[in-house]
Amino acid sequence: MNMLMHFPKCFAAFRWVMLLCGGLALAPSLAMGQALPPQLYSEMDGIHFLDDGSSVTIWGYGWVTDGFITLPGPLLTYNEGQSVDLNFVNPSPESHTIHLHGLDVDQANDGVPATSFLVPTGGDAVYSFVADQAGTFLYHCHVTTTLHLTMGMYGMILVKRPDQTLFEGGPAYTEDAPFLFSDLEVATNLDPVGSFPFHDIRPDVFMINGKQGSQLEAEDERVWSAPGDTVALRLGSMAYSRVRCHFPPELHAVCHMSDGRALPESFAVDSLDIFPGERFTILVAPEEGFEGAVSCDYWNMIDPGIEDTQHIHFGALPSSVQALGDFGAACGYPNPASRWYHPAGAASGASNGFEGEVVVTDAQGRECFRGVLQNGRLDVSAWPNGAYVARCGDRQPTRFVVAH
Amino acid sequence: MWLALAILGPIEVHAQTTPDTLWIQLNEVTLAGDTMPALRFCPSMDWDTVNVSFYVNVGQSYEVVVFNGDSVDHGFELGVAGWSAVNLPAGESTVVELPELLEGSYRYGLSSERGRVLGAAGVIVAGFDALPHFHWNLGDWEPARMWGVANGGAVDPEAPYVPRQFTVNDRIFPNTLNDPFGHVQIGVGTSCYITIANQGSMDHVLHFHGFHVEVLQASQHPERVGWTKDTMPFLQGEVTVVRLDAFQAGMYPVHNHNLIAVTNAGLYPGGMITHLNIAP
Repeated sequence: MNMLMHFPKCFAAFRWVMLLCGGLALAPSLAMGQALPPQLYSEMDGIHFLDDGSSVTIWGYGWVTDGFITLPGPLLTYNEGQSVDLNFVNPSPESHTIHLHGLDVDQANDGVPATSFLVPTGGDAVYSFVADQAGTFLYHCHVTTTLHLTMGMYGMILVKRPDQTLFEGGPAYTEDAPFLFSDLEVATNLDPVGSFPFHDIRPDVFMINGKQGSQLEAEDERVWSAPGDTVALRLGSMAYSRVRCHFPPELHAVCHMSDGRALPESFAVDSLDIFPGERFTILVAPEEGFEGAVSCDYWNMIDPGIEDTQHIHFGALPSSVQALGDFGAACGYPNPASRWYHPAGAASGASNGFEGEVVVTDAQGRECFRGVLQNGRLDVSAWPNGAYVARCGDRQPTRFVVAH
Repeated sequence: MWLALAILGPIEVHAQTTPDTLWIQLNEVTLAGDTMPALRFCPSMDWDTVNVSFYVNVGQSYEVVVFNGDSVDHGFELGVAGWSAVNLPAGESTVVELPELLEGSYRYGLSSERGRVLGAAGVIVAGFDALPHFHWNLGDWEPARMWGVANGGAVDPEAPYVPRQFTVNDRIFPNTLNDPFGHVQIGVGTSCYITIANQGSMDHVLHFHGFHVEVLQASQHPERVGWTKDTMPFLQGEVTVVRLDAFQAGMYPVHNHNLIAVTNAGLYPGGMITHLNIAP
């Protein structure tokens, strides 16, 4: 843990500079053009669009290099055994933290203000830990948690193994499909100051990865699988509701992990309850041509009853896409990507030793990019949302997603 | 017998102490400014805001005298398959025969709506005595509903439930840290058991900071025995036993992750929060 106070109180101007410069102002020791280490920041003036076209204010996390926050926050991906320094800067008007939910970090890095530390306005911090267990985890702010969570300050963490197995001795799979359940109360998000008392919060918007209804039917929100694919559904909940997922038999769903630990015995699953803060890893092997959905009921925890149902939609990829390659350990970063994607796996901007030609194709096999990487990264900020395949010379092709 | 019990005092953690009399008392409790009626199983004639939870030996039956100090009849219920509630006439003492129990933790309480809403419930732990054993009785309280029931009314099933207080062993955070039976205080490198019983009127879910725990018993989630979890649900009436291996020192919260329940009358932090205090 290392908390530094670098910034003046005039953070409004600071924020402007930060966003304008894509974060370079945060690291004066770095020369212009030199890439920054990935750094999360928090903000309290985000806008989130709901399925009906209306919008609510959100508080949340984003990458400094992106310059905007998202709901949920960025997916954080680490390798099993990796020593992590998670950089965080808080230019927002209130103090925040990052609690690394389920990673069993020590007290100093736990993100609880009373027992760890606050990151005040204008402050920054480094959360240090070892990602010693593969699995699905969460992160969220632990300041006035009841309010800060419903406002949107949360995200998912994946700790992966390089051999693309779920855990040591566990099953292999083709790709990850992370889904974070959450909900919010519109009245609270529109007027957080007036949200007291907190025990009255009753969500009325129910989301998967921040999306709902027809938003989840979009092509880039679906799980696309080719014949023979085994997809790891990484399910986690930051909701106030209990989420009951119903898996169609065509998915052949098997539950292997919960809360970042292998289960003593995996089991076939047709429905599964996920309570707030829980995570499950489900392997699905969709039957060829399957196009359906996992339906997810949001149950009121206080007065039991179904409040809403959302869906995780599946689509079938043509078999020609599967033939593009034997997808091994994905090494690109970040995935999903919204602005920059590092096909060779180096988040810091180096090319991870790869200097050759990179070829990227979309889910239909159409070539989108061919060339040598500049600073080890692709600018995907103008690319359509969707799944892509990157080939770096003789290396195993990797699949990644662009999501804006 | 009552005199003998009167000098027992509070039940000690993993002390294997079994009371021979339980006193059902009606009184009031005040939590974070909310005063509400309460029924409690007390260890003596004196009013106690905290229900008794106690320890028995595996495979041994017991006789417990239950004095019903309330103004209405009640039924004594025990979370054991095949157990039939024992009638407890108002103002009288009744001998209740506790059956021989397998190793595990069991919820006991009153079978009536009045008894449940006013909070008369505890746990009986059989075995699991090789390590220090703590217990957390989880509760949720809506004062308006409780006053209505205390005054002879019934719960309106159509009325929304709006609990304002959330407790662990009938205490709200930070008073939970003054609870010798619930505030886990052990040394690094050691282990303990924790019994968690949902005595409330809604489902709950607890998240452990800093640790995963092994599920040894989950009365309504038997498939989860043997799982290693950091977050787990407790359905209404469910009793769970977990084992905590304290591999790192420090102060780590355990709290409800349905975050309305970490409040006291709407104020954060409060309610269903306690700490694991692991000494170096």
